[in-house]
Amino acid sequence: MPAEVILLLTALGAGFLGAILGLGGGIIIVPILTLVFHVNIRYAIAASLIAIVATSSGAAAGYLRDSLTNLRLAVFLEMGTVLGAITGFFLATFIQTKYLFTLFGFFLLFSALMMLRKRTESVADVNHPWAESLRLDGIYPDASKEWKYYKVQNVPFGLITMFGAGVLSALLGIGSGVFKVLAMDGAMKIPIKVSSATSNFMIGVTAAASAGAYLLRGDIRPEIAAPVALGVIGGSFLGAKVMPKIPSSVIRMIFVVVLSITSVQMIWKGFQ
Amino acid sequence: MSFPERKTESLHGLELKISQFLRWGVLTAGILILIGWVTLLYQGDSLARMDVTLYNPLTLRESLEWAVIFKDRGTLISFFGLLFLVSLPVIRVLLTGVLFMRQREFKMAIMTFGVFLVLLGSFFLGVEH
Repeated sequence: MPAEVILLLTALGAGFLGAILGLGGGIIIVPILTLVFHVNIRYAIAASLIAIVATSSGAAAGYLRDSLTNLRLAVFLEMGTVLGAITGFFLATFIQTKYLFTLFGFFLLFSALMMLRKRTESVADVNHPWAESLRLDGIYPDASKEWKYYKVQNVPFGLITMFGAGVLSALLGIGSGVFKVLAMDGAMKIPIKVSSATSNFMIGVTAAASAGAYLLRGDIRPEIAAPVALGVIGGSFLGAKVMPKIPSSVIRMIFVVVLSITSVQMIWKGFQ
Repeated sequence: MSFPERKTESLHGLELKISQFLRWGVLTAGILILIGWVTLLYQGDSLARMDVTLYNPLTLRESLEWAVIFKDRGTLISFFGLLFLVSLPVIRVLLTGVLFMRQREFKMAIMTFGVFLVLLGSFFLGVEH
């Protein structure tokens, strides 16, 4: 089977898995490209940024229509992510690839541990003054199609976390969706559904900030990026359709196993 | 399902406009990338012929110049599709800013245009480096 077909099918799988867990897919694309296809990590990171933009834009269309995305909050937090992404782009020029491997490995391990954490929904009683002033609170439809109102806390902390997520996105070729969801869900007390949808909306902008720079620098090769983008678009579409039918506990466990194995491989490669 | 007071119809209208833009944008970019990639494969530019393990510093401008000289349609269409795809979030931010302005949401509009300018600047970092 030609390498292109294998790459397309792999990206299809990555897009599928990325969609059902609410991530951009970069967390899967970079290790697969580097470890399986032996693609230079700079090309792999650039290709995965393209995949994240595709997944985010495609999925965001549905989430916006369903009123799950908090548009005002996303615009506010995007200020942190784009500045972080530019900082990360400058840092990437000075960091050797073996450190990128190690950093990415530890990031995967951290993500796996976070996924094991049991999610509990805690609702905010009052709005942070910034949230009140900018009307960052909102409503969303729950499973029974009833509108639910939510408030927003710890806005400055959320903004700083988004800056960090932007740095990681440019360094590692990921959307940093895990950090975004954790910050919104954990610190800002936003419902998990809204956190995931808003994070998905934002990862496209975070990734585009560095993807544009990588594209102009010549790091994005169409021979690699084209099948990855096409596969991920198809995979994320399928994943969004199938996701409601799969128990979340099963999905979570599969990912923890996949991420743990991959993180050990990446850290090992970084130390070699 | 009618909207409660907290969520205005105008905000949802704005969300729907951005949603439609993104849906058509991804579809268009996907078709362009597909045509470009199939052309590349037809031309014989397969992964097997490219050493993907080594980093070859060649800017987008240089790649495009070579593609024009050698009439490499696959590379040109692929890059056009990829460039359009990467531009989608940037256009989306600009569109959001314009729509906030039309709703007289000036604080939100200023923030959105700020993000747009930083995004635009980030694109050109790639030219400098």
